[in-house]
Amino acid sequence: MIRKILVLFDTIDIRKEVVRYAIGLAKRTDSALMLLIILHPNFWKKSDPEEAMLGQGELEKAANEALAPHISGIVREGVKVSTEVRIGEPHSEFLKFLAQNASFQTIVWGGAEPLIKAKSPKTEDHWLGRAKSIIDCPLVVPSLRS
Amino acid sequence: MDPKGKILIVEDDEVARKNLSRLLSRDGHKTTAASTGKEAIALLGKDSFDLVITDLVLGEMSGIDLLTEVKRQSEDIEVIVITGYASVATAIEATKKGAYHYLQKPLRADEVRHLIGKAIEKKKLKDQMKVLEEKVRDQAEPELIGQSQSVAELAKLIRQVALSDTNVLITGESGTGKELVAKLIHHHSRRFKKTFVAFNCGGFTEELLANELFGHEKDAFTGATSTKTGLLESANGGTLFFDEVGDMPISMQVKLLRVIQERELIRVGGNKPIPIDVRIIGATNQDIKKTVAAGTFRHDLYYRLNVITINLPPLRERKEDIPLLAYYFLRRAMKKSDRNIKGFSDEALKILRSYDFPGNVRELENIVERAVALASGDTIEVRDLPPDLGEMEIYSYPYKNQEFKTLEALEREYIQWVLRKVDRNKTQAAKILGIDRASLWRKVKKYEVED
Repeated sequence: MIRKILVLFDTIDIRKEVVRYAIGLAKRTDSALMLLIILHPNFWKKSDPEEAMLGQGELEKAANEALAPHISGIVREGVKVSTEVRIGEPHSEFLKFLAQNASFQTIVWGGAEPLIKAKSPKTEDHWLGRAKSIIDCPLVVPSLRS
Repeated sequence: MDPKGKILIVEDDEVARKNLSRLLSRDGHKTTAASTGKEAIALLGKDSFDLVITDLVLGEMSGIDLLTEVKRQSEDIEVIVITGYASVATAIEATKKGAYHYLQKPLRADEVRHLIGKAIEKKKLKDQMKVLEEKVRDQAEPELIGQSQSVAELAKLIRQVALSDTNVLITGESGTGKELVAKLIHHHSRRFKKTFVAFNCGGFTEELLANELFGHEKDAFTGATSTKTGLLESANGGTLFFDEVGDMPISMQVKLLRVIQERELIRVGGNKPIPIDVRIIGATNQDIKKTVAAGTFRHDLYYRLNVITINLPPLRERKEDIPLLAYYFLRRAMKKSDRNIKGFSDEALKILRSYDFPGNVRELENIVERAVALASGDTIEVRDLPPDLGEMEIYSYPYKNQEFKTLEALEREYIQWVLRKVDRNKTQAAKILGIDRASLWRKVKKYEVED
């Protein structure tokens, strides 16, 4: 069975260094990559419900467009890659995703917010921190050295 | 903890010689002193040393000549040269001739200690590698590499478990060595003369799995032109290792349970029970209790396999094993190629030590193999390591299946991480941590955080 690394984002601002690290890790561990973007329906903060509904289609499109340039880069490096975009409450969507997919070797976090806020270091403040109890594998957060 | 060693100090200045001896003896090293190169060579012939510290200017025999002679007698002894005056260029020349490093006069105690600690650590590592190579060379025995407490305990547990002949469940993250442990159990068991068969349960359909494990009778299905022996029969008397046992289809779990309970199997398309005696070792990186609770893994099979559970620690929990593992993989990679690489630069080793290896030992092995292929000199440098390791900070969150850590351990790790993030700027770190500088300083001292 192919080993898989999940690269998880909750934004369409995909940081290059996160993808670069994930590619390196995938090559070193003979793994494939799954890039997952989970966006809250309010990501673009549309207050009108109808607008928000229309916005979800646009959100999904924007997320796929954000992923596209990285996918070609990953394929060029010889790493197998698949992608998924989910729109919904991140914590709940993430749990559903995990239930529907085979286990991952590692989760690489490339999301917008730090998992630990500087002043109050509680991982439970973040939706991924709350999901940590059911994660079955290492969760790593790469960032460029200051 | 800094390793202690046997040091030969060669210095013609009596005061300097005695001062250095006193400093190193107080630190726990065993020191011998010589005032000339000739005396040093005589001492080298009588005793073994880990490190020679020599002044460059010695009188009739220069420090460079002594270095050459030391390396001729034993390539593994590390040499540090002491230089003063305007002879730094000569000291650099010495490092090219094999000296570990140089110290410039006037000597500073902290600098001396740091360099000597590193040199002796390197020598000890080389010694361990030699012992390991001798053990592995003539034997087919798989080897568990590591000097950490967890590896020592694991080795002891493996030997105990091996003798018991019970089924075993091995758990641990991907890349931690589950198959290696299964092989070790087999090797130390009464079944060692019989077959060890490894099988990965992931990605098979039920039909393929049944055929592989149980074999089939002739004409059992279209294309079955002859009888085929399955893996269970092949492993009769020996050990069958199921990797990713959590991925086995439920229907196959039922059949496997029957084999374990009844000690017999029936080939696909057959009706004759065939007695078998096989030890089953299962492995998984999933939380198997969760899969049992979710109904995707049978609880009765779980209890049959889980007579003994061995949990393998991730590499980030035994970082003291990284240098030894790295050198082991280096030697192995060199055997496959025609490269002659002496070791790792201090910076490269530092990067490897500080990385958390989510891919565990497998990831380290691949990194070293790639580095050997890329290295242009006789040392693995930072440029030979994957660029992302040098460019990035990788923070890993504790895996939930780890043993509970104390508050102190968690606090220590977090302080260390914050300090790395702010480039050791204590003012910034204290602000982020919500404490004053004095409190941070006290915690850094208390936890002996790297500074």
